[in-house]
Amino acid sequence: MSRRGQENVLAAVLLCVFGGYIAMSLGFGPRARFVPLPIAAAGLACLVAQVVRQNLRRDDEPGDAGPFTAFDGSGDALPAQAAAAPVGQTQDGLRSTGRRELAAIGIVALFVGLNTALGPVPAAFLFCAGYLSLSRHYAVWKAVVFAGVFVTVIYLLFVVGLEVQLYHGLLEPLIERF
Amino acid sequence: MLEAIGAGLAALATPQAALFLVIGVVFGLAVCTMPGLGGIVAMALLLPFTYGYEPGATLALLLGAHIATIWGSSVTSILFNVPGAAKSLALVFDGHPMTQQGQAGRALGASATAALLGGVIGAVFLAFSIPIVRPVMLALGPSEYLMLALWGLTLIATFSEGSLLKGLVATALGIMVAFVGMDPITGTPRFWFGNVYLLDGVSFPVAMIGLFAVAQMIKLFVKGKISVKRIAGEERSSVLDGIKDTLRHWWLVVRSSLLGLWIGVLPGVGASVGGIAAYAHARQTSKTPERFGKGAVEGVIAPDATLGANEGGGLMPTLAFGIPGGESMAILLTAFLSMGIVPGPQMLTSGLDIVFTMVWVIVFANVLTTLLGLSLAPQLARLPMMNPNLMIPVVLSVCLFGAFAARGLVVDVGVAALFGVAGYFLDKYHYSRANFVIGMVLADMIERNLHISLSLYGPAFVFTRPVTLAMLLVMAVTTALPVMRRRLRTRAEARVG
Repeated sequence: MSRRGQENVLAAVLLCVFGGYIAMSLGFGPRARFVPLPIAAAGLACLVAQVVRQNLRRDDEPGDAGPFTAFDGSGDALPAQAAAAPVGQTQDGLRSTGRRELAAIGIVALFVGLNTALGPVPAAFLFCAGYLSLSRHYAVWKAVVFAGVFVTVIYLLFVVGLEVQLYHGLLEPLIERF
Repeated sequence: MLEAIGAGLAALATPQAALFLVIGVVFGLAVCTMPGLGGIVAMALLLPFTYGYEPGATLALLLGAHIATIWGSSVTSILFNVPGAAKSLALVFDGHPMTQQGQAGRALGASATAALLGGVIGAVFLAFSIPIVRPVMLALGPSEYLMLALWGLTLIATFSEGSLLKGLVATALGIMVAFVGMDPITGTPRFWFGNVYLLDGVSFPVAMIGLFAVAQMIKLFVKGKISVKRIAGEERSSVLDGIKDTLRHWWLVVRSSLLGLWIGVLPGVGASVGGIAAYAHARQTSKTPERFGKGAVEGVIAPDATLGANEGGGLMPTLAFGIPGGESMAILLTAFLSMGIVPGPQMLTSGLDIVFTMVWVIVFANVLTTLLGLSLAPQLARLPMMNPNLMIPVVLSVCLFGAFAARGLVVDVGVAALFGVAGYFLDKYHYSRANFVIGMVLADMIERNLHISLSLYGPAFVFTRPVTLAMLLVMAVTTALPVMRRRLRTRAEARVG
């Protein structure tokens, strides 16, 4: 899908968000919807204007050449001269970027699932050990040792230092039974 | 006021505060010298640690890390030609050529000393601005605060990178997210989908961790690698040369610091503009502008002095009006709120000792950053070689554990992940995350002050309050002016073309 097509998909999702928000706001009392409703309406108007603008324009806007211009950590795009070569310019590049995006989201979802099922400490251990060994960064035994040390540090920092009450996961009753 | 200055210093004279300051500075330096992470990620990762410790220690940790990240991002610009953050871009122009010429030590020395002097000037400004700003703040009513918040939002959207419309959409989205949960005015549950968890609203620290740190890890995974090359000549200079250079160009340091202060006070203009503006100023006022771009030390001194001073300037509107100047200030504001520090007039009356604690932290953190940074520079320079395969699981684990620790709710882990995905796509398609966050932070201030203004002054309060009306006009002009200018410039270019 072209860059413009991707932008339109995102705009469609946002249109649904704004539309849904407005519809829900109408169900509140006049004082409760007094600010949310106009803000959502103004956001919707800006989004519609943006959709019109991006579809009438001949070229993609300069900053939209690729998915990234540089790692900056602040969210601000850096000018091209300071950036690494943009990726995802060609159809193949876009497809590969899309696949990596899906994989990244999958990894995050898997980690959230592990947290819910097992609790944060075992989840962090399994995730780190698994990621490091599957990415072949470390051999399996090294990945396990690294994950063990890392999780111990996290445990000391959060559970001992900050006295965070741990959550033991949805599977705790099952594990306790055995 | 003298009493508050002493109390502010005393809050830092505890072993916990001293330790946290050192941890904050070392952490900030380490994180910021790794391309792929950056200052905002460093701040987001520290948010879970804002609970349960002394306020002075927490401020030392957060502000210490924040100050260190500013200089840390300059290090990567100078050594690797990769700015750690957009604000450090100007350091690339002359800092990296100096490294190539074997003058990395001199460039780092000049950069650190300029940042230190700028930071101290910023802290002094913050301290001296309090007696001036206090009467103004106490004279303002809810309608003026409403206008200030709206002005902050529009200014941020106007000056943000990319399209103004996308900036405004992101701002609206941020405000909308902040309205999830119980309405503080009417007690109506809003946008809660029958889920009790959502009645408390979305936790700001959790959202920040997701929007910046988790999103950055997704970005790192998609990109797959960090390409950093170091092309350095044989070292022929020392850090001391750089310190002497900065002291010799003291007047440039003063002018650049004042520029940084001014840019810091204006919401939304941001340090990225400040660095470039300082560089342009140094070049314009130089007797030998032809040296710029080829390794002129003034091209390193001016941006770093501006970036150092920018923080003192940026803290002023954040503390006094609750209007953050940028995303890092928005994260700091979130941390302040979770510590029970509520910005506004009371900060400059009953909370004056906290303000002075911050002033002292800025001074000490700058000194410590300079000392540690210069002594650790060779070791720090090796950090960017850390493999993303190692960085992603480590940072993601800390992020999601931090999200859980914020309120002890496992649901927050999912929320942080959702915000991470949203943050990635917002960033990819240039819907400014800074606007989103600032919208989130200012939403409550807008709604509360609008309702109070209506109750106190009636529906036509804008026209019955002259100061409010004047502020509305200023807001309209400052929003329309950049758009009109851009349009006129485009037309002129089209005519020439």
